[in-house]
Amino acid sequence: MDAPLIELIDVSKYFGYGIIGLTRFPAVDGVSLTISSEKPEVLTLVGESGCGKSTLAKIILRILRPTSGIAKYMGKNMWKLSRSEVKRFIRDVQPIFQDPMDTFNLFESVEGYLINAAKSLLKLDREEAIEKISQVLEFVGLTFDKVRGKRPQEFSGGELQRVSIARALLVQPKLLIADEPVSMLDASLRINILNFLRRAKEELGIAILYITHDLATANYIGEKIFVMYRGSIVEHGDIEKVINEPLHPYTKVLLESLPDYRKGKEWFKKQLPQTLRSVVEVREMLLKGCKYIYYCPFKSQQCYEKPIMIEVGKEHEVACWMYSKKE
Amino acid sequence: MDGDTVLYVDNVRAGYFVGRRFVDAVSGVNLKLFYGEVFGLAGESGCGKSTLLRIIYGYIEPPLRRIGGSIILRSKTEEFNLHEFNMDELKKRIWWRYITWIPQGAMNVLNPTIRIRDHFIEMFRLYSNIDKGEAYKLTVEYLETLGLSREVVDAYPTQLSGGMRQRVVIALALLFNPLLVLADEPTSALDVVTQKVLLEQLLKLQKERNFTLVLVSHDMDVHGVLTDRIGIMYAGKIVEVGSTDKVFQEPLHPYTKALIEALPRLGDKIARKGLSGAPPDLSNPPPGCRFHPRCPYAMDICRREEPPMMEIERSRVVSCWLYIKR
Repeated sequence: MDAPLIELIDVSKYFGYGIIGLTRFPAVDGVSLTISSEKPEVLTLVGESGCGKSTLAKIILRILRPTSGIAKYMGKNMWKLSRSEVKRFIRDVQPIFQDPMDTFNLFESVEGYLINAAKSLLKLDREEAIEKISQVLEFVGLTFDKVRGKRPQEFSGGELQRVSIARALLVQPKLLIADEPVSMLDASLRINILNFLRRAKEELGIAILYITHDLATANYIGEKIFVMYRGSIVEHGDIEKVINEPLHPYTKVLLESLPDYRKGKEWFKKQLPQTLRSVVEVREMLLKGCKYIYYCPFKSQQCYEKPIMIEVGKEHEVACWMYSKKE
Repeated sequence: MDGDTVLYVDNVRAGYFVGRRFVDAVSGVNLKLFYGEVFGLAGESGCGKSTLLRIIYGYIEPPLRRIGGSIILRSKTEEFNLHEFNMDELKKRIWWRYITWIPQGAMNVLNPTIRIRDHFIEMFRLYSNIDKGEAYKLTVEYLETLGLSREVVDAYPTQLSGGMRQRVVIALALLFNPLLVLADEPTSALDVVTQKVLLEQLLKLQKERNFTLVLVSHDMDVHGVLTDRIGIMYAGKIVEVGSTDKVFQEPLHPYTKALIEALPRLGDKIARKGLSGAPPDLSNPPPGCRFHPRCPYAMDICRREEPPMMEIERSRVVSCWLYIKR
């Protein structure tokens, strides 16, 4: 079997804080995950704001270099690739960002940008480039004529996000990293973008890492879920399994605090199994043991040690000491 | 006028004058709010829901202008024609006592250089004639009844988390027991877990003090769990009003239908369809029904004439030609 497309082994990324940044905290703390391109899947990475999910995305995109641990691309350390391998990497792993305005240069026409990208990355001449661009634009329900001569600010948010999906598809990637691609869009447009991502996986065989704080949209397109809390992955597995039978206390709280109109006022009747304390977040990030300890109603002495990933089912792992005794 | 209505909004028009253009953000809105209810205003960004809230409150600064319509507030004993008041009068007589407004991102409006308690003391001294010592005592008592600890009272705003700051802002808003509280996206910047705790508290306070709460949110699920009645806004108009249960069970307006159908649900992966197109530019809204370019049921008349607000059944109003027999 070939080496997986992306493999992270115990990856951490520290950032400095305080006035001169000498003290450091881990934004990503010991994360291991594998993304294979042989059987493309939609993986979802779910967590609250500040849990390190965007930092993790940047590590996978080779924008940030991990402080410790190894990030591998096709079995090789990402940061020790040759120039041609880096080019290959850029073609294989493409990002879609939260704000499509960030993707495009405001002073350049979208069409010019797309043509240049196609020319330089795919080594095509202008005619071929336009043909290729038309193809990917069609995939997201646009045409080249609709894009021609327009600058990014002349598009609506939903349209521009579709163009940025097309842009990512242009180089025929194997993996799309979509970091909150729909959180700036309205509900009625959101689902369309998610449908395009779904189709990209089904029809073009592209693996997708969908990063979001919104469990409902994650459930809509995802097959696997990684739940992140304060820099660490606390639970991962098949998304239906995790949503129906969450094991980590944090996953449970996250699922129960999701408002759902179908429940109506009943939603308030169930109290969250969480103790409340006002703790400063950085202090939590610095904890050596389980980072959920301040809130967890089930904590024990063992939780002051860092929990290991415990396999509880087929491809279902949870980082909680509660599940270690059952062996 | 019936007895249990606290606010009448009648044919209010307002918008933004930007250069030579006029952005028609609130276009002939009629609304009635009742005592002690939680009313939700839903709609996509740019549909005018925040502008409507601002107009009701009366905080109108250029380029925003009210062009017409009346807003009447009724307490048990008094009646105010809010549309006739200017901002100074509103400030003296209405704001904080009768209506409070929690604007979007309100948790960032606290003054970072003074302690939380000083915000309250200042309010007490501005709006009632008590000295500083007494104001301090009242503040501590008041915050304790709301479950905010002494630690919070003495903290500076930057020391608190977003959720805690938002609670402080809500506490400020409720200080003088207002009749009507206008909350604009009070939880949109918070995490879901914090959101749940905050919404729980807001609802509890609303039940205890029985004020009327108007909640603006783009999140339909929040409306579904919190509100008693809901109004759906599209492109500057209210297109449907009804009790929250009914609207979710059986949405009437095609826009409401699309909005609810487009919501992905936990534990269901059925492919869903969103709306095509985008909301119109309000400086140049389409003729007739403003939803017709995106509406799957659009008819000839929809392109020509604006549909009136029709009462389909008791307190169930919709503005759509599909429901009008001619």
